[in-house]
Amino acid sequence: MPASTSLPEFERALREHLAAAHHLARWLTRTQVDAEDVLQEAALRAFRSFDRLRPANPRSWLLRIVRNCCYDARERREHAAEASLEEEMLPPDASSPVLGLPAEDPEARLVRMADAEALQGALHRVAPEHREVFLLREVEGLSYKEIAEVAGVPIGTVMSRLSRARAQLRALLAAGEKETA
Amino acid sequence: MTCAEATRLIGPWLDDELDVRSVVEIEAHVARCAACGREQSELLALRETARERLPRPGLPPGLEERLLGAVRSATAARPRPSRRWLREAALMLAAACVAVVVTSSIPRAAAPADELVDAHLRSLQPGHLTDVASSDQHTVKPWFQGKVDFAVPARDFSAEGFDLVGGRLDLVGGRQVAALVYRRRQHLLNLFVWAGAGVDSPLRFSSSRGYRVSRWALDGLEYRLVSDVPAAEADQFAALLRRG
Repeated sequence: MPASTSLPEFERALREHLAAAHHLARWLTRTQVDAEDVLQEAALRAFRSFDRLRPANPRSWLLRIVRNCCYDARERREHAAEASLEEEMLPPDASSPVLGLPAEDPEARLVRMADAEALQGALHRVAPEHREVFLLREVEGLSYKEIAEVAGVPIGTVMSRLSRARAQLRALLAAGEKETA
Repeated sequence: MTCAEATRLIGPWLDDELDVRSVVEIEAHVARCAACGREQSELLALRETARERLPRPGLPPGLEERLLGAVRSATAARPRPSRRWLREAALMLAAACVAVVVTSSIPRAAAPADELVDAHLRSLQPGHLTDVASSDQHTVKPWFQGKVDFAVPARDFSAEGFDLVGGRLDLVGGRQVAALVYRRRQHLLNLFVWAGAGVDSPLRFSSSRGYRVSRWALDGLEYRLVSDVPAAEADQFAALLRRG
């Protein structure tokens, strides 16, 4: 029966890509508990479709499911809109897209290697759609084609989101540096 | 190549997504254009920061096994298609008749995370935490005798940092359950126990309103642990309880 024969294969794929999946879930949810809930849902969802799809690229396939579970969880949370939301867990402005970014100054000072905290803060301030392409590209090292599979968008969209993400992050880092200078 | 074209292509170039001809062109352009050279080094600095300095959260211990456990128990629960479907159907019909009788006389076995969290929160109200307040397992365990129809596994885990505070009877999902209360630093943990269907199930977890609900079944008893301690500590405690 296919369900049992494919289980070891599925487990191998899950083990191999769990670190990347966990990292992505951590960036697309608010808390560690949320991330682990999402991963559990994603693992079950992934297993159910594993036999049918036999993904050629298990990494982008798994990351796509994790990503979708993160977005579903956020939607559920927004719908619930409970008064008891733990706002204190929320980093400032997390999950809200950046509004009114300073216009890019062609003569802007060189953004040197920023510190981790500044980049983390900046990443929380860009929209999740921009955050995820940046992380998948720069940290996970996915190709445009793979990112397109994960995010479920055309490669052209990946390129424009990535370019926008980089511009926003640079602007935020440069603005932060000016503040502290 | 103009600067406008170059600016658009620098990203894809650094991402190794350009065709060979464009690569040659952009390399030549960047070599003699200071502004585009700066664009290149800024993007590289951003990448370097992301790769080398961005903290990469480690995998919480036990997460992998929990996820695989959840998948395995989902597979085990999956009904197997049978060639003798007619016989199976007849059996299922019979089972359904029994089930109607059974479910109407016994409260449902599943207690959703929400109800458990409600019970947990109720217990935190003044005077509601324990019916028997004792850190001595030999006091707490016998207290339950005659009140529930199973032996309550009341054990103290002070040595591991989880102090037994006491026990009480509680009502979860319309069912009488034993609740054991533990303390971890300033946090209180509720362990709900009741007699289950006798099928062991691995450790799984969910969360509701910021509380972590761990659940498992062992030796005929259903366990639910509700707490707001960090996930890793809740898992550590659940593992301790499972080991006994």
